[in-house]
Amino acid sequence: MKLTFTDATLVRNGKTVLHPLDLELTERRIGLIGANGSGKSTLARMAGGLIRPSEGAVTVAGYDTARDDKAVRRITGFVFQNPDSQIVYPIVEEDLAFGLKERGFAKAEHRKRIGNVLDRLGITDLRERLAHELSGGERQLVALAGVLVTEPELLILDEPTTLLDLRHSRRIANHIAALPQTVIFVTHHLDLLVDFDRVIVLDDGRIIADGDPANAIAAYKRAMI
Amino acid sequence: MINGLYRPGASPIHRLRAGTKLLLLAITCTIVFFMEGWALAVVPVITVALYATARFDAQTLYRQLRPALPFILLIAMFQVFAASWVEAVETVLRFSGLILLAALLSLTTSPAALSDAMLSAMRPFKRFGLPAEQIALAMTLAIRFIPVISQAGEDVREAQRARGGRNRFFRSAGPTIIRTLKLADELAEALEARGLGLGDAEAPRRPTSAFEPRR
Repeated sequence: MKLTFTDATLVRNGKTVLHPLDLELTERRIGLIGANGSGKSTLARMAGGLIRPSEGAVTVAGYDTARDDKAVRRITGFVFQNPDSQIVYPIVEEDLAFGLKERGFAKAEHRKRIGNVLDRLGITDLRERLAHELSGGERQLVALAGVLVTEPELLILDEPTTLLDLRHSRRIANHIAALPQTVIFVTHHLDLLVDFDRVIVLDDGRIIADGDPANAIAAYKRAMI
Repeated sequence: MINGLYRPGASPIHRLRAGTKLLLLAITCTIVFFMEGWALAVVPVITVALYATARFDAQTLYRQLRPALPFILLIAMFQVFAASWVEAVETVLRFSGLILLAALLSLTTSPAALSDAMLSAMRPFKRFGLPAEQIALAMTLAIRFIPVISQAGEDVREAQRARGGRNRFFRSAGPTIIRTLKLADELAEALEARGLGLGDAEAPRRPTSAFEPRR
């Protein structure tokens, strides 16, 4: 999986949110860190085709996010910070079927994939539960499961552990570490990135550091002082 | 507990097909709406019997009715002065019955099944431009977000109490609406990200599981 940003810029209401960006991402585990408002979530949304660049281009596995948005969405999964805003159906099993239904998969395939994902995440007992009765950590696991059932090639996670306790943060991080997909992980929890292949640091819409986790995190800490 | 929200179960009413329940509800409500006089006395009897068949207790029944009670009583009082006490009683029985029967449908039918049933019912009208999928999805989302928005309202009221403010409905309405609108924005983005409208034009991409080891 290869992502490219070619002179990708985002301007909103006359303000430059992301300055022209040239990037090539081929690593399997990529971390995005930065202060609030630094542009890291915007960059992640651009990579997932949810935001199109005002200028320049972004490609995911060769698909242009502006021209081939459906193809990009088909191969990309996105987990947001707040699971409540991405769980569509009240019952867990029905919610997990949403993405499959929208992609036209047969019901037999729904059952197989849902069973497989729930089993892998260790939440089979939640299958028939009502989403609003679950804890925050359980809801985030359900949100992750809802994305994984579609078997995306690229998984983008925008601060999925911010609202969670340490145990659930670690649990989510362990599941993510075991996934075969390319992962872009936006987070403030720096310790979750230590085993990543590459970490990019953003500040005020610009990349200020890019490299292995130790060096990038050190650069981030220096910039924040 | 939120009123009118699905509660999984195995009663005969739970097991009925969603489309059948929807049709029966439409027919029953139409009959109840046009019933008059002492015949309306049968409505609470049937309603209680249906709730018992679905294995719901009296408290559950009352909870479905409670939010609407002030409005029903207000209308009934108006009827006492404008018409007669008989018509007031009729109004109470009619509206209570309609609300309880509709609540029974959502208590015993999963939103996805209801959505599928509505989609089937609306499918013939798609050729006239009716956005059937969008209507069914909107209905599902409305049900799903009742507890989420209710919780948002409770959070706002709790924050106001913590800061020494008194619990006033109108004071909490503004922040709750703002939170709800923000949630709506996030939801729209999430629906897009989860594949809304991708359609089945393309065949399933690949049959292998994402959990298989990388080669």
